[in-house]
Amino acid sequence: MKQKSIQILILLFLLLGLSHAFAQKKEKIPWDGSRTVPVHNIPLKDEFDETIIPTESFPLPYSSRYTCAPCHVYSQISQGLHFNALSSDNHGRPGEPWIWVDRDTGTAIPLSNRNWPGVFQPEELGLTFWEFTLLFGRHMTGGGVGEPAEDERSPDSRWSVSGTLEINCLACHNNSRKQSHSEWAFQILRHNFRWAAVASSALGEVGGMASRLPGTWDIYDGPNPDDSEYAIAPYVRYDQTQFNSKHEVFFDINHRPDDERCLACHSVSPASQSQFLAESDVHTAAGIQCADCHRNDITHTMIRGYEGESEQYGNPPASDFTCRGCHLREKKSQKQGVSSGRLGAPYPIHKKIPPIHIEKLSCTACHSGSLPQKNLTRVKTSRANRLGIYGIARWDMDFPAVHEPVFQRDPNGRLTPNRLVWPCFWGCIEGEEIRPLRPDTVKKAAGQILYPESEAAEILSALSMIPNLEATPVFVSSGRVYELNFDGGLDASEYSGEMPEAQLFWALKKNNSLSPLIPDFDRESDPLDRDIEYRIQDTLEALNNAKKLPYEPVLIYGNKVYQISGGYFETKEWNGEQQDSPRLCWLKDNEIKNLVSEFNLNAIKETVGYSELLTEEQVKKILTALSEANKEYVYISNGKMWRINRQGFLEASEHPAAEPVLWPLAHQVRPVQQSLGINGCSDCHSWNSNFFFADVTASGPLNTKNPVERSAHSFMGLGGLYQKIFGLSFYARPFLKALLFIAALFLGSILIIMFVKTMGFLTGLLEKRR
Amino acid sequence: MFSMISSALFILVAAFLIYFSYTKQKKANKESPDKKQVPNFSGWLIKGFRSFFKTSLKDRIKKIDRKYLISERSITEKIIWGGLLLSFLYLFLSGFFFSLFSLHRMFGIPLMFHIVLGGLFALFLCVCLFLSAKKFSSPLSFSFENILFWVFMLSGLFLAGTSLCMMFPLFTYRTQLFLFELHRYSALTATLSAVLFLYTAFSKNEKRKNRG
Repeated sequence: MKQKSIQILILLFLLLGLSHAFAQKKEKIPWDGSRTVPVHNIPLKDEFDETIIPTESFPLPYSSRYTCAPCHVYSQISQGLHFNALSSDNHGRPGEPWIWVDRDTGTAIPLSNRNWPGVFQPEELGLTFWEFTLLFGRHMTGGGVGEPAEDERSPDSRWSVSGTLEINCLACHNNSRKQSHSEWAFQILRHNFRWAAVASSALGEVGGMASRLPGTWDIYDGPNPDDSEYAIAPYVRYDQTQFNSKHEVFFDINHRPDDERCLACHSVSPASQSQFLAESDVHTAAGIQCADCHRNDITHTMIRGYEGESEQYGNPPASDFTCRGCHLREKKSQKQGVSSGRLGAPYPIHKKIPPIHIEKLSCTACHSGSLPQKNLTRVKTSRANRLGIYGIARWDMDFPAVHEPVFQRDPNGRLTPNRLVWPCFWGCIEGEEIRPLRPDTVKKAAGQILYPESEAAEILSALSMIPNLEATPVFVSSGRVYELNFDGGLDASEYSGEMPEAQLFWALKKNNSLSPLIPDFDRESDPLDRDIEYRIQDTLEALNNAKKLPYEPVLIYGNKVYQISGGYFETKEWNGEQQDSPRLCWLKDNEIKNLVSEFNLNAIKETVGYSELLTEEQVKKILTALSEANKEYVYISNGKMWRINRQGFLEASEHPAAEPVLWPLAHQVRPVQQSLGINGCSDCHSWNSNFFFADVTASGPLNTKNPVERSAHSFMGLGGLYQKIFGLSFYARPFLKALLFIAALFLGSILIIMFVKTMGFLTGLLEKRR
Repeated sequence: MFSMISSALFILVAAFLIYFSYTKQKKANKESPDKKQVPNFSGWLIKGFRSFFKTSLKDRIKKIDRKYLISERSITEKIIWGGLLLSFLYLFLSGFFFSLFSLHRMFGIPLMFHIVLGGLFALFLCVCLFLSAKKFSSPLSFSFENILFWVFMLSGLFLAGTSLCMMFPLFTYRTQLFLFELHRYSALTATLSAVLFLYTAFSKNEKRKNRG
C-alpha cells in the first residue's frame, strides 16, 4: 500500500514536472529560422473562447485574447511596452504623457501611469480606469488600464456593459488598408469597448451604443427589444465574405507593423505647416520602417532606441539601435558585442565638427525635430491634439500647445532636444504642493463664468430667427465682427469698414458687407415706417424668446422706447439717458442693460478668435467662486501660479507645479543638409543664436501679458553671458587661424632647416666649422 | 590611456629629477673642501620641503632669479620668455587638469582661455625660436639641452598644427580624434622637454655661478 502511494506520488510529480515544462515551452516558442510570416487563416473566438459563427443571429465580437491565443501568449504580450504602464516598475526615459484636456476650464494636465518627472498619476486626480479609458482609449492599444481585473473596477464604471478593452493586435499588425483608427476612436466614444477591435479592423460592421444602455445590460441580454431607435445594444454584423467554410478568417498580418499603424498614435507635425510641405523622417525616406529599429520579440518589450536603455531594461541588443549604436563604431559598443551599421547605417563623417560636440550633444540635438527658431516651434501630436481621427466633425484640437525643441541635459550629460508642454489646471494648495482639481469640479463652481460666449451666441441665434432677414446677424465690437458658428459658439473676423460709435453694434452681414440690424429712422414720424416697425417688432420678439430673465428687450432711440407689451408693439416716452442711435437693450424698472454684459463682452474680445481661452477677470471670478474656508485655490497657467491675494487682487508667482513637462524627442530625423551646424559654427555660437537664446514663452489658455519668459540656455544649465562671449569669440577665429598658420609655417621652416643642417653634418655633407 | 601614460611619465621625471638633485648635491658636498655631511635621502627630502614652505615669496623670486639668471636678461627677453612661460603654464594646467582629473574634455571658460593663450603661446614660441635658434643650433654642441630645445620646438609645431587643422572643415570625426590625441601627446612631450630643459639650464647656471 505504502509502495503504491509512493508510486502515485512520483507519478504526480512527474506529471507536474511535465506540465510545467510544457507550460514553459508554450511561453517561449523558439524561432524556426524562417523569415516568412505564416498565413493567418484562423477561426475567430469570442470572449468566452467559443468559435464565432458569422451567420448566427447575434454573434459576439471577436476577442484577441482567445483568437490569437493558440500561438501567442496573451499574458506575455500584455507585459510589453504598450501595455505595461501599470504593471512595470521600470519606466525608462520620459516619453510623451497623456494630457487631460478640457477647453472649457482651460485645463491641460499631463498624466501618466509611469513614474516620469512632472506628470501626475491618474489616481492623484481620482481618475478611475474607466474614466482614463474613456478619455484616452482613442489612442490606446488596449490592455493595461483598459482591461482591469474585477477587483480593480470602480463602482461607477460600466465595464459590464462596455466590456473590457482587450489588446487590439490588429491595431498594429493588420496589413489591410481597411484598418481604421477613426472607427476605433468612435467605438470608444460609444463605450463599445469589446466591439472596437472588430469595428476598426473592418471584419464586421458594428452598430448600437453601449453608452445609451442601462448599467444593468449584459452581453448575455442581447438586443434591446424595447428600443430600436435610441438605446440599441451594440451588435456586429460580420462580413461573411471574409470567412471560409470552416469559419476561418484570413488575417493579413504584418509581423513588423507598417509605419501608418505607428503614426496613428505617434504623429508629430509642426502646427502651422502645410501637409504638402511636411517632410518624412530621413530613415523613412531611406525605406526603413519604424519597426525596423523599434523591434520587439513576442514579449513586446519594444526597443525605444535611446542611450542607456540597454542598461535600464537589461536588454543588451537595445544598444544596437541607438543613433550611436547604429551609426558610430564606438569602442564601448564594440566591447559589448554591438554590431554597428545595421540596415546599412552610414558612418557619419562629421567634417568640421570638433569632437567635443559628439561628447556634449546627443545626435538628435543637431539632426532631429524642428530647427531652433527665435521662438519655439509649436507642434501637434496625435495623442495630445487628437490627430488622425476623421469623421464629419473635426476631432483635432489646437489646445494644448506642445513646443519643440528645448535642449536639456540627458542622464549622460548630453544636450538633448525635448518637447515641452506647460501644465494648466485649477488646484488647491495643500502644504507645499498643489492638488489639481478635476474639470467637472471647476465647472460646477464656475457655472456661466466659463462660457462668456453663450450669452451673445444665444442672442445671435435668436436674431437669426427673424423672418425674411436674408442676412446673418452679427455684432461688431472693437474692430471685429462676431458671428455664430456651427458649434453654437462665436467666430471672429476683422472689420475694416467704418467703425460704429456704439461699443456693441448689432448688424446684418451679407456678402461681406454690414448693415445695421435696426437702421436709422425718423423717430418723430407717426406712424413709423412700416418696414422699420416690422423689423423692430420682429427683433424684439426674437429677443424675447432668447432670454428667460426678468428683463424685457427694448429699443431706445432719442426720447422714445419701443417695446412689446402684452403681445402688442408700442412706443413710449423715455425719461432715461437719451440715445443718438437706435440701441437694443434689456429693460427692468427703468434700468437698462446691454444685451451682452460687459464682463462677457470683454471676455469675448480677449478670447474669441485667439488661442487663449480665459481672461484674468474670469480667473479671478472663478477663484472667488471656488473659495472655501481654510482652503486656497489657485490656477496654474502660462508657467505661473495665479491666486487672489489678501488685497483681493489677482497675482501671479512662480511655483514648481507650474514648471513645464519635458520629454526627449527623437524624430523627425532631418538629413545632413538640414542639420544644425550645417552653416558653420555660428548656427549655435553667435551673440544671439536661436540654439542658446531662443525665447521660451510659457503658453497657456490664459490671456495675460505676464507669462513666464526664459531663454533657451536656462534649460541647458549653461550661463547665458558665457555663451554670448563665446559666440563673439568666433569673430576672432579667423585671426587666430592666421596666427597659428603663420606660427606653424615659421616653426616648420626653421625645423626643416635645422633637420637638413643636422643631416648634413651627420652625413658629412656639411663641414663643422669652429 | 593618455592619462595613465602622462601620469606615469610625470612621476618618473619628477622622481628622476629629485633623485638626480640629491646625488648631485651629495657629490658636490663630498668634493667641497669642508666635506659637508649630506643627510640621507628622506631627510634631505624633508629638509627640502621645509625650506620650500619656509622661504618667503621675495626670497623665492630671488632664488628663481638666481636659478635662471633673469636679471641678466634684457626687458624684451624677459617679456618674451615670461610670456612663453606663463602662457605655457596655463595651457599645461588647464589641459592636464581636464585630462587627468576630469571625466569631461575641456569646456567653458577654461577652454576659451586655452584657445586664446594657445595663440599667444604660438606667437611667443616663434619669437623665442627666432632669437635663440642660432644659439641652440651650433653643430659643435649637440648637448642634451640643445636636443630638449628642439624637441620643445617640434612639439610646439605639432601643437599649433593640430589646433589649426581642427579648426578647418577638412577632417573627418575620426581624423579629428587622431589630431586631438596628437595634440595631447605633443603637449606631454613639450611639458616634459620644458621641465628637463629648465632643469638642465638651471644646473648649467649653477655651475657657471660656482665657477664665477
